[in-house]
Amino acid sequence: MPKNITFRTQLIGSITEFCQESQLSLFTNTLHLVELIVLLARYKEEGMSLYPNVYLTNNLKTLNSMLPDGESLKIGASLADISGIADALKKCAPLATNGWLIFIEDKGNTLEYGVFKGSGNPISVLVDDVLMTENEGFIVVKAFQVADDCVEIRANSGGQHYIFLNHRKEDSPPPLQFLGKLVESITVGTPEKDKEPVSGFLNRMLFQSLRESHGCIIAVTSMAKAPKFLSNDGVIFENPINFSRLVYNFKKDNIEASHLDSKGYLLKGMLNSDGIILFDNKGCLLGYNCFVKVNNKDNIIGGARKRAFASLKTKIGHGLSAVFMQSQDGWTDFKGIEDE
Amino acid sequence: MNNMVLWQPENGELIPSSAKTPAEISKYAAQLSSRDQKQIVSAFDSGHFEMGINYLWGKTVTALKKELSAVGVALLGEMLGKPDVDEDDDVEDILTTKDSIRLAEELGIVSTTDSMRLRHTYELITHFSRLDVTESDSEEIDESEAISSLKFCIKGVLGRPKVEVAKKFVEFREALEGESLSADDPRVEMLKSSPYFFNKLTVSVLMNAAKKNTGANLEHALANINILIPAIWMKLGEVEKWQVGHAYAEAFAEGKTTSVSGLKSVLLKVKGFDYVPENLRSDTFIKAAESIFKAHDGLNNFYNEATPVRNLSKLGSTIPTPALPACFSALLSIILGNGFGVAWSAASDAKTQLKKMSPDRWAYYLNNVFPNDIRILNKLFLSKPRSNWINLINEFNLESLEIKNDSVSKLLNATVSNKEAKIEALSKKLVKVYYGKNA
Repeated sequence: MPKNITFRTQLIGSITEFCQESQLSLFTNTLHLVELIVLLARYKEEGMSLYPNVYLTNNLKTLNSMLPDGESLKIGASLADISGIADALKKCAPLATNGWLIFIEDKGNTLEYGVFKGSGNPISVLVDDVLMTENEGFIVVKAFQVADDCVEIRANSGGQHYIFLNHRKEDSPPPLQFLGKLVESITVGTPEKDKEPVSGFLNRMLFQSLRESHGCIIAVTSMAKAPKFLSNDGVIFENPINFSRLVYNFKKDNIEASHLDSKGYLLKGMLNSDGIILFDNKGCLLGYNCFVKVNNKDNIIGGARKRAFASLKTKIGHGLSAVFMQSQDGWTDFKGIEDE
Repeated sequence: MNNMVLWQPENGELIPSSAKTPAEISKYAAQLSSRDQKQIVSAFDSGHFEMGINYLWGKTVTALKKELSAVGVALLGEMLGKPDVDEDDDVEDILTTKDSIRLAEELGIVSTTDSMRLRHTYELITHFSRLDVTESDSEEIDESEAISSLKFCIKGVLGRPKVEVAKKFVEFREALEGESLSADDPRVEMLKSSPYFFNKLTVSVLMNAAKKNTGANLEHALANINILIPAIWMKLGEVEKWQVGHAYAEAFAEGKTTSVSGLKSVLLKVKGFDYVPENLRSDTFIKAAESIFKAHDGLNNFYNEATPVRNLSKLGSTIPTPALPACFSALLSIILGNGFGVAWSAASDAKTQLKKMSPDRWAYYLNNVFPNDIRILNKLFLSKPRSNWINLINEFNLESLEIKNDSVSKLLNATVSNKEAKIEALSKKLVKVYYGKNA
C-alpha cells in the first residue's frame, strides 16, 4: 500500500508554538491554522485567484473601535472548526478587495465572520499599524498570501512566520520585506511633520500595487533632477508628482481625497509599465518607463529586470540613493545607500 | 497629600488707596505708554467717561490676550474646545473677550475677584454700547463707575509690569512635553489629588502635544500620557474622556502612526475605546456649538445668536454623543441668557432643540457634564439666568431623572422648589470643587 507524504505534519510541528502564544482559543487545535494557511496559499473562486487578508480576533468590538471611520459588515456564523473556517473564507473572500478585509471573531465554540475596512481616508494610519502591534488583552492573528506560494501568519503578541509552500530554502528572505526600506528612502527628505502620513500613503499604495504587479524596479535619487543615465531613455515629468505636497494640501483641506487617490492610481499604472520608476527622496515621483544601459560583462543569471537591477546597484552613491526590485513571483530585493 | 498648586494669581495692592484721581491711578498702569495714560486722563477730566473707558478697555483686552498667548495659542484652543486652532492662528481671532477673562482666571493670570471685576466692567461697557440713540442721550457712565473701571483694569491687567504670570504653568507644561515622568514621580500623585481644573488642563496639554509634537517632545508627551491619564482616568468627566478618544481619532485620520500607537496603548489600559468617535462627524456639531458661544459672548449677542442656533438645528436632531456636552452647553447658554436678558428669537429655537433630547441624554448631561460645565454654573450666580433655569427645569420635568451627583441632585431639587439662594450656593459649591478654590 503506497504511503502518502504531505507537508502537513511538518507544518503542524512548526506552528504549534505560534498557536499557543497567540492565545486564540480557535488555535488550541493547530489544525485549524494549518487549514487556513493551505486555503489561503492558492485561494481561487470561480477560477479567479484571490488574496484576502484574514484577521482573527477575540474582540471584534475593540477591533472596530480602533479603526475610526472604518466599516464592518457581519456575513455569518459557523462552528469553530475546519469546515467553519472554510465556510467563512468562501463567503467573504470574494468581497475582500479594494481595502475590505476579512474578520473572524473567535467566540469559543462558534465563529462569527464578515468583512471590515479601515478609514477611506488615504493618509489615515495603516490598519496593521494599529491592529498588529502589541495590545493588552486584545488578540489579533493575521494570515494572508504575501506572494505566490507564501503565506504570512502574524500575531499582535509578536509571533510571525512565512510559510513557503514551494521549494524555497529555509533561509530565503520573506517577500516584500524591503517595502519598508523603499518607502523610507523615498520619504527621508520630506518635512518631519508630514513624514508619517506620506509614508503611510505610499506604503498603502505600493503594497496594493506591488501585490498585483508583474514585477518592477523603483529607483530613488537624492538629486534635484533625474540622473542622466535614466532621463536619457525614459519619461521624466515636466511637473513631478509631489506626494509630500499632495498630502500637505489634503491635510489642509485644499484638495479632496480623490485628488490624492487619483495620483496613486497613476503610480499603479506606472508599476504595470515596462522600465524603471524614479522617485526622489522628498516624496516626488519624477518619471517612469526609464531604461538603463546594462553591462553584459557582469555575468548576472536572470532576465532583463535582474540585469537592470544589478546595473542600478552600481549607481548607488553616484546619482541614486536606493534601488528596489520586485520579481514576477512577488519576491523583492533592495540596495540603499546605507547598505554600501 | 496637599493639593498641587501649579500657579497662583499674584494678589498684591498694585494701586495704593491714596490714589484717587484718574491721573494718580493711571500712573500705576505700567503697560500703558505715557501718551495713552495722558489720553485717558484727559478724557476723564473732560467728562468723556464712556470714550475714556472704551479706549482703556481696548488696551486692557489686548494686554490680557497678549499675556494669554504666552501659554501657547494651540493650548488656548484646546481649553476652549477648538481643536482646529494651531500656533499660526492669531489670538485675537480665537478669543472672545469673555473667553479671555475666563481663561485668565482659570490659568491664574488674574484672581477670582479681579476676574469678577473685569467681567463687571465688560458688562458695563456692553450695556452702554447697546443703548439706542434716545436712551444714550439720557443715560451715561458716571464718574464713580468710570473710576472704578479704571482701577479694575489697571489692578487686574495693566498694572503688571511684564508678562510674568502663568510662568509656573508654562514650566509645568514644558515638563509634560520635555521630560518623561515616572509612575512614582511626586507630581503624578499630586496631580491625582488636585482640583478637577488641573486634571482637565493636563489632558488638554497632553492631547495637544500628541497631535502637534514630533520627535523627542512627542515621545515625552506619549510617555506622560501613559502615566498620567490612567492615574486620573476615574476622576475625568465625559468631556475630557471624549477629548482623549477624539485625539486618537484625529491622529489616526492624519496618519500619525507614533501618536496613534501611544494613545492606543493608554486607551487599552483604561478600557477607553468607547470614547473614540466612530468618525469625525461630531466635529461639525462642535464647531456649530462654538459659533453659538462666540455669538453669545460677543457684542450685540441678542442680534447675533439666532443664526448660529438655526445652523446647529439644520445639522439634524441626532447629535453625536461626543458633541453632546458642547451642544447642551451652547443651547442652555442661549436659553438662560445673561445678566441683561435673553435673545428671544434664538431662545425659542434652542428650546425646540433641547426638547428633542431624550431623558437619557438629559441624564447623561446632568450626571456627567453639568458638574464641570463652568459656563452654565456661572450663569446660575446671576438672577435672570437663574430664573430662566428654574422655568426650564420645571417645564421639562427633569426632576424625575436619576441623578447620581449629590450636589447636582440637590440643585435640581432646589430648582423645583424655587429656592434661588440654594441654587446659587450649590452652583458655587460645584465651581469650588472644579477649581479647588472659592468661586
